[in-house]
Formats: sequence, C-alpha cells, structure tokens
Amino acid sequence: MKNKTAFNQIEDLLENDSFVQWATGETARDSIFWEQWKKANPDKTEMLEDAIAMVKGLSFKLKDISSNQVDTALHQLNSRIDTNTSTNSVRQRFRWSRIAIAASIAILTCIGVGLLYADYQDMESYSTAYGEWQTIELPDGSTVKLNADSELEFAKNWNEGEVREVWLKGEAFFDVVKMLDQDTEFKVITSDLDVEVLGTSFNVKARGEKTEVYLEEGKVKLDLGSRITYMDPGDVISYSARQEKIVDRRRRTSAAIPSPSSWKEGVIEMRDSDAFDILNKIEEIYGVTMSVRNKDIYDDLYQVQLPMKELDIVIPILEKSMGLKITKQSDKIFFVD
Amino acid sequence: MFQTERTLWLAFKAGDRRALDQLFKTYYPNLFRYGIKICANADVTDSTLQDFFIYLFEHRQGLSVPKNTKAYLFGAYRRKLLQHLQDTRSTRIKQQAFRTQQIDIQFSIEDMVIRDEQELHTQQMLMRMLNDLPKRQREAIYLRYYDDLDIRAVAEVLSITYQGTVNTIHKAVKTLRAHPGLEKIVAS
Repeated sequence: MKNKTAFNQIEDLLENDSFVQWATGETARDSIFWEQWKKANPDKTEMLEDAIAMVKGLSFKLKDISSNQVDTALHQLNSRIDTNTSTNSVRQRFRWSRIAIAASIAILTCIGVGLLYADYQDMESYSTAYGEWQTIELPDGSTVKLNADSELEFAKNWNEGEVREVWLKGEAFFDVVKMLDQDTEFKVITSDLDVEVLGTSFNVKARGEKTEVYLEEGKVKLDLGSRITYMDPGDVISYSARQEKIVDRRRRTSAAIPSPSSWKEGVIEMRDSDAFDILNKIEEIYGVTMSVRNKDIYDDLYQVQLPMKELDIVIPILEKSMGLKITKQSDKIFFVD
Repeated sequence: MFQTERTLWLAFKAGDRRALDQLFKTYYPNLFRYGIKICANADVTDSTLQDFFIYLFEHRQGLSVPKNTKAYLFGAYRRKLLQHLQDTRSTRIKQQAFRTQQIDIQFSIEDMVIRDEQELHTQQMLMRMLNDLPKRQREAIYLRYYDDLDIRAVAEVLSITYQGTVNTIHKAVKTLRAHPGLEKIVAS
C-alpha cells in the first residue's frame, strides 16, 4: 500500500483500487494494511463498513433475453436502415426476403409479448375548465373532488391487489377507501411528487412549479424522488421537483385556521391573507387576470369567504369584503382599485 | 469483431455496418432490460430501442467518442425513451413519464437471486425494502448493481454529480443494512 492518502470521505475509499480489491476479496495483497487501518481508525468503522457494502453491492438475477429476440430486432433494424438509405442494388434484391423473414419472426414475437403485457391498459381522463368543479368516483369507490382547471387520469380497470394510481394536474381533494383485503396502496402522482396512502383524506394541489399536499386525516407517505417524508394530519407540505426542495412546510393546528381544502365545501375561505394571495386564487380558479391599479391594497390583510359560483356572483362579494372597486375590462381582465 | 470500445465506435462512426451489428448485439439486452423497467412494455421498449439505434446511425458523424460507451448509451436511450413516453397519448405508459426526470423502477421477485427456501424469505424482504426507497435511490441501485455500471457511469446516466451519486447509493445501502435481517445481504 504505497498510496498514503487520508481516507476521510467514503469516496476516498471507493476510488482506491487497493481498497476495492480488498473489499471484494479479489486479492489479499493489502489486507494487512486495511486491517491495521481499521484498528487505527475506530471512529471510521461505520464508514468503512458502508464502503465495503457499497463495493460488494447486491446481486440480482438478470432477466433472460434470448438471442432470438436480439437477432429479430437486429434484422428489423437493418432492414429499416436499408429501406431508408439503400442505393446498393445487391442489398436491394435481398431486402424483401429479409423483411419477410423479419416480419414473420416479429409477428410471432409480438404474440408472445402481447400475452405477457396484456395488462397494459386504457386510461380514463377527467378535466375541469375554469370556474368548474366535478366529483368523480374511482373504480375502488374512493371519491375525488376536482377543482377548477384541473386534470385527473387513471386506468379504466383496477386489478385487485395492485397499486391504485391516479395522475393529477391542478388541484383535487381525495377521500380514499381503505381496501379490506390488505395493504393495497393508493398513489397520487404529480409532476413533483408521489403521495402514497392506504386509506385517508387529503388535498393535493399541483400548480405552477410545485405541489402542495394537505393531509386532513390518516397517514401519508410522500416520495420526493430523492427522499421520502411522512405526514401527520394537519400537515401542509409544498415540494418543488425543479428546485429539488420542500419550499414550504407548516401545520394547521386548529380548526379556526382556514383549511387548504375548504374549496371542496363550495367555499373559498381565506383569513389574514394579503390581497396578492386572494387575487391570485381568483385568477387560478377563473382563469382571469386581476390587474391591480391601486397598490395600497397590498398593505392590508383581509378575511374573505367566497362561494364557489360564477365569477359574476363572486366579484361583488369580493368587492364588499375587501372594500375594493373591481371593474370589468374584458372577459379575461379586471381592474382592481 | 472490434476488440476495443474505441475501435468499435470509430468504425460505427465511419458507417461500418458490422460495427452497428456488434454495438446493437452487445448492448441490446441491457438496454432492453432497462427500458422494460422504465415503461413496463416490451413492444415500446423494442421499437424505441430500434429507433434509438437508427437515430445513432443516422447521426453517427456528429457523435463524439464517448468515454464510457455503456454509460453513454444508457443515458441517451433513457432520454429518448422518456421523450417518446411524453409524446405518446392516452396510454398508461405515457403516465410513467409524467415526471420526466424520475423513473419509478420496481424490483420484482424475478430480479432476486433465490437458491433455497431460506433465501426466498430474505430476498422478498430485500425486494420490499428496495421498492420502499425513494425513486432516485432505486434507479441508482438498479444501474450500479443490476447493470454493473460504475459510480461515474451512474452519475452520467442520471445527469447528476459524482458526489450526488455517491451520496444517493450510500444512503440506499445504509437504509438496507439498517434493516434487521438484511445486514448479511448487503454484507461487510
């Protein structure tokens, strides 16, 4: 062992050939050095053991890919290339017979493959426009309330014992039925994270560049891709996959605090909120632009309770509770004074 | 047969069809296994792989010689497949790519090495623990140990830093080793 590097980080070990050979047991050449190093560095025992485990790793059984399959694919590949680029007359002559052989093999392969992967299926898709809400019953009896401007997708048929998966863009409240048989997981997938539950009720909002999850009751596991976190009732977590971090984490400690899922009762409730958040919410639900001309309104905090009705009904209530003047400029643009 | 990765790649770049054949035969099985894990569909995996090699062949002159052919092919195919899944409409597999950067690799019992009854139990436990890991850790473990890519190659495929990859695999191995009954599997 000539290399006298200090091994302070696990990668110092992983990058050292002598260590790797010793850890895998390939050679006993430097074993005395490593045994001594181990004794001399009792504070690094855990790091050493982790490094050995990382070098040795796990054994897996590789899925068998028949040479027949590879050959068939290669035949197809070659004939596709020949069809595109061939100027060679000799190759031209052989081409059709090769395609015929390849095609017949391909048909046989496809039948086999089709049988193996027959469970891959069609999707059911629901979406709401601005200012529109919808309640959807899922194949397992769970219910989903879909908020405005949102999209929900799931497989048409759910097989028993299989993970129940739905995909969400926008916002929805989930009331998930616990399966009697056992621990059949329910998964909401957004562009930021996966929400995994057994049976529980929670709100998921996947808008902009983050996803916010609010847990009403039960227990929830969030797979954030690089790590996993758990939620308790009342927890609100916002995660951004792009920033790779939790951008907001808080707890709704009392029923007096407006619930992030109040919209499902047909009411948008906001307390001690600034005008920016409230108007943002209106823009989000109705797909309009609220253009603020009087910036002074940002100095105050407001309480609002808005029914989830047509915008024409909501605007006067908003004006009254916030003490503002809202003028309709066009279908999509409002001035706030 | 081309003896080194470099000569193979240079011949491929020069348009040598034997090099294309060899490259395809060498890497198709590994890429096919990887593709199946990503999209759970053999037809899609096979056809996207063919498209991928045709793409490489058509663009061969512009390709540089990769330091690690396998890592390059895994990374490039991963991007191609995800793009394809993104573009495909109204099927379940499209949804797998809903989050473009994260792949949901599930280990199945067929992936586990089981020689006897006793091993069956530990391997089932290992499989469950693996599937409980965060997605990136799962994919890193898959690439590192199932496909035998080294850490630098895993980093290249996942487009993350070397340090990030070490940390990711380290965390996964730590989690597995901490589980009672699995200390020996991920042995030290």
